[in-house]
Amino acid sequence: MTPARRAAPDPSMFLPLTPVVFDILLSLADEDRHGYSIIREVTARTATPLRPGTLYRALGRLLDDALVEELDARPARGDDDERRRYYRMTPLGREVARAEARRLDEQVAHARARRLLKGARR
Amino acid sequence: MKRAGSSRAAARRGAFSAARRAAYGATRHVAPVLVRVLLLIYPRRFRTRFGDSLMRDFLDTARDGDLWPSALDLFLGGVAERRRERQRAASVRHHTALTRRPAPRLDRLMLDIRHILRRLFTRPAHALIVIATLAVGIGANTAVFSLVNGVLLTEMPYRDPSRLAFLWTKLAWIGVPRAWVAAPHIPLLASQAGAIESIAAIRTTDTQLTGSGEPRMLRMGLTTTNLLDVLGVRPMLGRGFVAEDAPAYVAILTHDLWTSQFGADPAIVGRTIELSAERFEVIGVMPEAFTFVVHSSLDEPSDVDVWVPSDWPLETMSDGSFGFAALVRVRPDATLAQAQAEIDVIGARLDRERYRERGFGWQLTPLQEDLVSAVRPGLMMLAAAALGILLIVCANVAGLGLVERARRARELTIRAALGAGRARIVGSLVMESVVLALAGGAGGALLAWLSIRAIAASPLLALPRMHDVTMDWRVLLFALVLSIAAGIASGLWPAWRAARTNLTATLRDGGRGATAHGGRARGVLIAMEIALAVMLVAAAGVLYRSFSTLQGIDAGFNPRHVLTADVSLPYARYQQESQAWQFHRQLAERLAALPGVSAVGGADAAPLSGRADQAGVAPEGFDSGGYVGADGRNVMTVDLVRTTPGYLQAMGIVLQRGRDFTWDDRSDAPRVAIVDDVLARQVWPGGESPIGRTLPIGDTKAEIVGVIRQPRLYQMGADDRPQVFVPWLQDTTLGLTLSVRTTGDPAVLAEPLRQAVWAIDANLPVAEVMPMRARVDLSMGERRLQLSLLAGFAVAALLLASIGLYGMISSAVTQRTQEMGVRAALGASAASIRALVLRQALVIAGIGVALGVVGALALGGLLSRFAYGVTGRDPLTLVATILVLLAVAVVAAFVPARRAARVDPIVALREG
Repeated sequence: MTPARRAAPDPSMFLPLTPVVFDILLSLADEDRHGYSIIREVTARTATPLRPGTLYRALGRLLDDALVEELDARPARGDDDERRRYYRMTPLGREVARAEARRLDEQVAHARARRLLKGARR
Repeated sequence: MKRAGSSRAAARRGAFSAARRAAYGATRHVAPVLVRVLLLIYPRRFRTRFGDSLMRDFLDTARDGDLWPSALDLFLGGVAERRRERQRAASVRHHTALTRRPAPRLDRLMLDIRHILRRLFTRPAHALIVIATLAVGIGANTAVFSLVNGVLLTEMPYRDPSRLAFLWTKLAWIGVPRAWVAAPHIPLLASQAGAIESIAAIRTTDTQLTGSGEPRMLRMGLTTTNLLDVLGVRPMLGRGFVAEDAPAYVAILTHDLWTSQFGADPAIVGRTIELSAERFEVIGVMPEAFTFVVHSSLDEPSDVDVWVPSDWPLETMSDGSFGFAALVRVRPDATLAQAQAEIDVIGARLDRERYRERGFGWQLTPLQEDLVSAVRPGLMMLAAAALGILLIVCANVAGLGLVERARRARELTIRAALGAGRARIVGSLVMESVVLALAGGAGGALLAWLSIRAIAASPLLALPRMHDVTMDWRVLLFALVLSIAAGIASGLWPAWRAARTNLTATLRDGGRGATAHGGRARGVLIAMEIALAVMLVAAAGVLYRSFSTLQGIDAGFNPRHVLTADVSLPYARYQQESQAWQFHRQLAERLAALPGVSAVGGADAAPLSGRADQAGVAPEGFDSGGYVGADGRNVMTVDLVRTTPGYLQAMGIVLQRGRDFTWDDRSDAPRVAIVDDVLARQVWPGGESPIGRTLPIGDTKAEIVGVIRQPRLYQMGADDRPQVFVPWLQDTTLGLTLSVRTTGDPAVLAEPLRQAVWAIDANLPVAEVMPMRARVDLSMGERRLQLSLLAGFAVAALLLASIGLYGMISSAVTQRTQEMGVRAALGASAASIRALVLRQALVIAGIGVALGVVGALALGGLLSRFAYGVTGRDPLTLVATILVLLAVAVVAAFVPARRAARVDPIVALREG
């Protein structure tokens, strides 16, 4: 981190994330994607269709909050459609996603402790 | 990291079946349109950012068979995004309005105005009071300015009007600065004064229009054929005069006559009309803007209805009779001053050769100046009064502003705390009052328009050039500039004070400190308002006293119970004197036989008509020290009035000595005359009786048979030159003003009078049938206008000042509720608390009244020129004004005082 850089915001101030935002961050966790790619990944993974309007409104907020950034350089790939814009999770976005995951994990642990789910881990 | 391709394949496997993809075929054409339309819902910022990507992804999704749910999602998202954007913009706007942002100036202005309007709508009562107050102030000024603009500033509709001037003769030795011009002097000056391009000679006379409906009396302008060329105007229809017209019977109608009498008939040119029982061919119609006014030597304007050319042998006419109006056009390469210098030289020569160096000369008066110079001081006084109103209004609005700022002290403080600079806060507060003032200005323009219309419609409120008074662009521009100025004037002080308030102190005590501070400033404003109100009320009082004095004055005649009417005989049918005599004798007998009639008479110049002929008289033994007539006697210029027997009694003119004329004083009998007391005093200062003495009038000699008290010929309360009455039977004119004295209401005789005239001659117009009282009222039109406007201003000033005082005391009482409660709890009686509040009001009012009295005394000298019978510093008026103001102050303070006295100590203390 360069000295000039501002102190990073506390990831916890973004919590809790909406399911759509968390889904988008999750889909960007393993690779940089363009919008349609995010739609298909999330839809396939959650079996709940993510639609373009919802996606881009959420992306707008993620970009504003600097959890996601738009790529200047496209991934060099054969199937790359160069007109598409690619998005990448920022380190802050990753921190936030991680914090959200931890939060959900704790929630799930609580659920287990209250015997809502089988197999308490703790 | 996994490969992208594998996840894409997974997606295809999952959600989007081949079947759904096939269904897409039908809607394939719908999707691109749909997405474009739906995208329009989104804020522009969003569209530019994501529009392309979103559209492509939408089409991909639609191809995958998810068209309609995606469309619905897009639609709902758009609505939500738009609402979000609006909230974001509002918060940004709020933020920028509160603090300083390097926004473009115009943007900032619009932001400010929107901000202001929003705030005004939250407190409509305050805004309405301010707007109404400003409307009164701006309206008063705009109304007066439209008078000033129309009368004094608007150029007259002639070619190069600054080169036009009226020529007046100075007869210094008899104290006449403005006599008309002697006929031979007109060609003399035209040929000898190089700077003069041309001169037109004009006389006016009454004429009868017959053969076009009911006979009608008109004012005819007789002129040399060059009049329209001198003025530089052309007729709207037909042609102007040419030199060959002079002996011909041709006429040019004014626009007024053309529309009122001939229904604006475009085929009028070439038609024949009957004037004075003679036939004239209409050769032209003047444009509407042409309203050339010829006026007599003492500023009595008369509108001419019809113009006819004349071929007077000017060179050979008498140089002892000053009977022509002369209009001069100066050469384009010369100035009025050069022309004046030239005629001064010629005049001095004439003075030496002809007038024994007693002060003969000529004066050129610019045309417009000539017409309006008499009313300029009055208009300037009204303008000053209107300005006073505006100052009161601004003080009142500023006072309201101080309270309003105090109420908003917290907001202002927060704005300052958020970093809004002082200039920015002051700027936006001043902007706020300018916006209010503009609204008030619009109301004021409306008020002014209404009052101008009312003034123009009222025959009793008169000004020369009233027809030129309109709400033109200059008036509107004036109202606009005045509104902005008033907005700044009334907004700057409160804004500046507001911006100066101590941030932390205000935040700490919730704004109370600022209010208490504003109270003192407001007191100063109210005292100023009261001072101005005192001055206006005192001025209106002086004018009112003058007006009522004038109305009640003995002007040498008794206007009560007298009916008057103008009758003029056409020369063509009354060429013999005896015909005219017979007509009037018959008419007098018929009128005298009417029930209730006690006396009947006629005169060619009625009191206040301002239209008398002038004549030179040379009383025996009189040394005028001036003009000497052909027989070597000293000549005095008098107004000559021709009267019929019975006129003195009918008009109520006091016969001091001798007798009235009789029907036997005809031209075949010895010449007789009646002189007025002014002449008698001047000629026989020792008090010798003039009766029986011989008075040379022009080239005849008459025996003085009576002395009367002078009836005013020109204005109520103006001192006239001497008058000489001669029998109409010995110097018969065609036009007479009849006067009929009755025992009852003169107005009921109007119709019998007309019928009596028409029973003798059915083709005679009977004009201006009205009680003499009405003529008196008409003659006081300008004074009445001054008085009405000034009285209106004074009432407005009183109201505004009392509202200001009430508002101030009222809010002071509200602020001091707790203190009043404490006092009441400590045993102060209601009466003592009431007295406390009243005392506060009276201290302010007292200071204001004292300042106002000083101001009124200072201005009294200026006011004296409008006063009659009282001085501008009339003590009675001042005392009355002081009492009125103090009474108004007590009334204004009484309501809040009673409220203070009723404060319940328990409630007050709990709330405090």
